[in-house]
Amino acid sequence: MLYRHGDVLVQRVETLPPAHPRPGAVLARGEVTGHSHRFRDPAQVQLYTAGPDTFVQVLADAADLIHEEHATIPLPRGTYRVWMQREYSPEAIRRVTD
Amino acid sequence: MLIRTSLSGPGHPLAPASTRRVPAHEARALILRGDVRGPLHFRGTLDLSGVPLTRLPDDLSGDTLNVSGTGLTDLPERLAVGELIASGLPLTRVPASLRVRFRLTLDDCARLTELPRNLSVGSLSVQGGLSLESLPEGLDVCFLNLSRCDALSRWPRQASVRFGHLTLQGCLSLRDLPGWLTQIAQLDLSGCRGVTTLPAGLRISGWLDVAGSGLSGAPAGTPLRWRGVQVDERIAFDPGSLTGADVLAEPNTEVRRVMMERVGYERFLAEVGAQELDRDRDAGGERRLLRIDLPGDEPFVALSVRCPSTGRAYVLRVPPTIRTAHAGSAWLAGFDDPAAYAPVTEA
Repeated sequence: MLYRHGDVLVQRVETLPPAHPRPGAVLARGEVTGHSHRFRDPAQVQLYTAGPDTFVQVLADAADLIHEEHATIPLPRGTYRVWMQREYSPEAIRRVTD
Repeated sequence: MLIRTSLSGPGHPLAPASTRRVPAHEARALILRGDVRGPLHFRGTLDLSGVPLTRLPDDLSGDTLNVSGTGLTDLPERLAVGELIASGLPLTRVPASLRVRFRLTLDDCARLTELPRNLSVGSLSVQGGLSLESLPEGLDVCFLNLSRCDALSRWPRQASVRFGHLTLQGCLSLRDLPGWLTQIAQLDLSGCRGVTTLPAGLRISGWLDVAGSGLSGAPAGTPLRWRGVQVDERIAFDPGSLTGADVLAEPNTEVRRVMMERVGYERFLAEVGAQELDRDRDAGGERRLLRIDLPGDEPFVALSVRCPSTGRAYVLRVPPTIRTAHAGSAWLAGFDDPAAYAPVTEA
């Protein structure tokens, strides 16, 4: 099951890989607006960091994923991988990095 | 340039004369056997990265130590090395007895909340220190990389980043820079939306990267960059004066890309007239795949969609090989195979 919440994608996974718990309930914060994709009730979720990936466990029957500019998505109990939408840019290979 | 470090000048012994001294590979074997008693000094690079470890012996010293990805939750006491690479560890703090002479790398230690007072090292990198809210008093470095330290909001009253580079990419909680920052070669404030001014006494000798920062201007004569690309003040701070024609007339492809970003893809597409490659509908409404040929560069291909929640149109660039609107949506979501992309809900 794949959900899209603005530029954040959330997909149900079977198991949580080896990961470290992370405090809070914010999945991603907008650089421009300061608005954030977050869970309404932090007590209903546990975030994890596994390398570059973020995972979330929904501990209640459902947890509301909210944002100032997007409709709420209720996520059923379970484990999810979370990632951000990508955007193509030739800069990735040509960028000045000195 | 003289780099002052936590240990005094060349020739200063990293370990007392009574310490056992061995090559790095021998030290590695001793440590993995759990056979280290008393102080141990190694020569060369001791690479333990990726080896599951629960602890390292105290009083370890040597040249370069790499303990990245070992799972260590604590660093040993009185560790004294030239370079320490300790990335991706579940550390919450670093012992005050740690001595690193040249380079200390603590990247992606997402649980790190505390660094020791008076930490002094040539180069300090704490990229991805998501839990770090403040830096220690008395910090003394030449190069400091704090990229993606999402929670960082407080600077020490007294500290020093002298002459080198300060990298603050994506420090979303930062609201200012410290007054003790007076001279620096390179300052990267890209993504620091909350930083709107520079300290009055700050001199930047190299360049200032302002991409996505809150700055609306910079001291006259400061070379500017936008995510690594050299730009002028107009591109950086007055994008409203740029036109689609200006973008197409720019010969440098990197600068042109930044100009497109500054003009905004929507306005750029409207001003230059784009070819429609494909059109369909998804849960969010109508999608359009658009193309503009750029002189001397690969074509600009982008998906124009409307957000189902806000109703706002937005345009996102996709690889020029994309041929359908659905494939563009799938690629943006991270799927190389369009058939694998089928969201149940979009909001």
